[in-house]
Amino acid sequence: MMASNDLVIKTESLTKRYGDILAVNDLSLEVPRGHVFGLLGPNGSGKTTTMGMLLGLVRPSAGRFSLFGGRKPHREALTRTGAIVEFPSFYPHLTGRDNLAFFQEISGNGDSVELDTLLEKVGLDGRGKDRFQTYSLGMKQRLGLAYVLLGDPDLLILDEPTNGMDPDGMAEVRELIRSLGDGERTVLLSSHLLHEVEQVCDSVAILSHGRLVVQGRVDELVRSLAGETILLRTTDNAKAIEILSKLNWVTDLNSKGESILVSAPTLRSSELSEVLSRSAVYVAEMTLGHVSLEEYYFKITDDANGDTA
Amino acid sequence: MIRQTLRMARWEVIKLRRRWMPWVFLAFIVLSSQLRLLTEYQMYSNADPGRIAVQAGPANEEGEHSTISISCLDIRDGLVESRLSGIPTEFRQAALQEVESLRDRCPALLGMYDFARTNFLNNATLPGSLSYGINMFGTLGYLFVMILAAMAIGVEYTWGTARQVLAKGCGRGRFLAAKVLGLLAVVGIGHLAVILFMGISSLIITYTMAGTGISTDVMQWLRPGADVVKSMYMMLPYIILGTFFAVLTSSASSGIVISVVFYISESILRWIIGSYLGPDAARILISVNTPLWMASLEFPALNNLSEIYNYLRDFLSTFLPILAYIVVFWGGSFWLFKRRDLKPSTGV
Repeated sequence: MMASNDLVIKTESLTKRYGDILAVNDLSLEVPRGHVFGLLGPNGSGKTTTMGMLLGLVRPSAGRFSLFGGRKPHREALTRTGAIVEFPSFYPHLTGRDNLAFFQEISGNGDSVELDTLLEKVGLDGRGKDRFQTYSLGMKQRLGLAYVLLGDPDLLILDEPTNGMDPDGMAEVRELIRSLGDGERTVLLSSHLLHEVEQVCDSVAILSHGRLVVQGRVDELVRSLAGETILLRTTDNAKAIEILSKLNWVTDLNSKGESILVSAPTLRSSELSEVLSRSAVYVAEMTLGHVSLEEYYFKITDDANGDTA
Repeated sequence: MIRQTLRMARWEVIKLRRRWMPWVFLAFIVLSSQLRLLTEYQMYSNADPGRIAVQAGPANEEGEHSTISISCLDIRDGLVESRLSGIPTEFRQAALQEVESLRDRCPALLGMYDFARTNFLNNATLPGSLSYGINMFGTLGYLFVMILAAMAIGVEYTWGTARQVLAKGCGRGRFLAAKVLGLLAVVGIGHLAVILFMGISSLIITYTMAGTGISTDVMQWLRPGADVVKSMYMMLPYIILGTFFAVLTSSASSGIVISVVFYISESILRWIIGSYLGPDAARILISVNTPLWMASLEFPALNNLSEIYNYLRDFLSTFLPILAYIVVFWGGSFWLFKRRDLKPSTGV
């Protein structure tokens, strides 16, 4: 367990109930300082509600949380936080620059140079004097990023930050988020784009039905599942699945393109080959433990859904 | 904390300045005050000082007589003799008889004429015109202020900007306080605009009309200042009512609709309660108290205790109900805003 000083976000049994619906259920999260932390989960899994609670926009029904170790009042902690939840919202009749100036003045620090620098950083330097209502979806997202960076905050909370952006913009923003997470700054990021999270995040927490399914470093989580998967390409995949399904140490079998994804201890991979060859099915290719975060996510959430069903 | 609230209030003014609704309301109030001034002038110029036309000579070839106009003003000012000095004797006697018959009606006619003139001069020349202009904020001004408040708060929900402001750590109490302060500032600017336009009109009237002037009585000049303060206090419960309706419904459009419904319902209730339960019962309604609050109260003589008592009683009888509205609806708005979750934007 980490020292509380190293935890920028800590939640303990955080719960939010809307009538009979448990949006967030007994959530205990730990986000370490300096991490880019991904919050993953299907729609309705409680990601946005959790972020809302951290920002004081949603009142928890039970449990507690702290930002920056809870040493300072929550309102003060928020002045060190840049956050966008759901969608960047600005005053449509004000210009992009005026919107930023307003939020800068609320937080009480920064100057006009910072505004110009941020607009340039997010690629809006030529459009700062245009009204927000004239911005495209991608430009709104960019202004949202400039907003969260106001005052050089120690914690960023970003909900789907690349939503509505074109591929170039998404790549730029991913790069930006990655660079923001360097050093002491912490980023809490929610996204539906699993490859995006894999590229950007150090750690993730996966939520399902408001509950925390798993939490940890991305590389460790993926490795834990990869240690139990073998990718096979055989001369007769259908027959191979039939044979392997009879082995009690093979826990799962899935077709994956022209290959079969076998859930089994990698130490017994040679036995797979042997069993198949006895039935005149020959292994053409065998790859041990190569799992993407996406595969991991689906495996974990399927299991979690199976448990709750 | 105070600095942050004031900074936010300043931005509220900037945000409202860039919307069309406050400008439309302001234009309406300014135009209304100018129109009312024009109406006062029309009433004064149409007031009849009992003007009659007396025959001043024989008929010409077309059978038309030359006439001289005599009014009650001539009679009061003793100008009848001089007005009739040039006419032949045979016509003079008949003219004097006509003037005599007018003289009987003069007190009533001059009473109305003088009232219209005094009214016009009080309301159209400085500094009385300034108070007259400020009074224009009554009636529709209340409705405008409620709508403006409901709009200013409601759009923060609609656009989702309230979430973003609070996520910056500004605090819910400060957010709401800054809104109300900003709206008060806008209403204050509106008052100044009306005063400015009334002042210009009064100067033009004073310059162009004989018998008018600008008062140099300091006490008279203090009255518009006091009226501005009173008017601002009167506007506060309406700002807070608009705020309350917007917070209650978390929406600009619903807040505005409820504000309008409230305004109309109060007018109806005022009549019903006043008719069936008596005027005192209707004092529970804000719209009954605000005109009474704005009605001029003459300062009492400081050596007359009963006058001071009566003054304080009348003052508090309107001040306290308005204060009660402010406290109750501000408390309600704050409580609701503090305890409710802020839902995402409902559209831009």
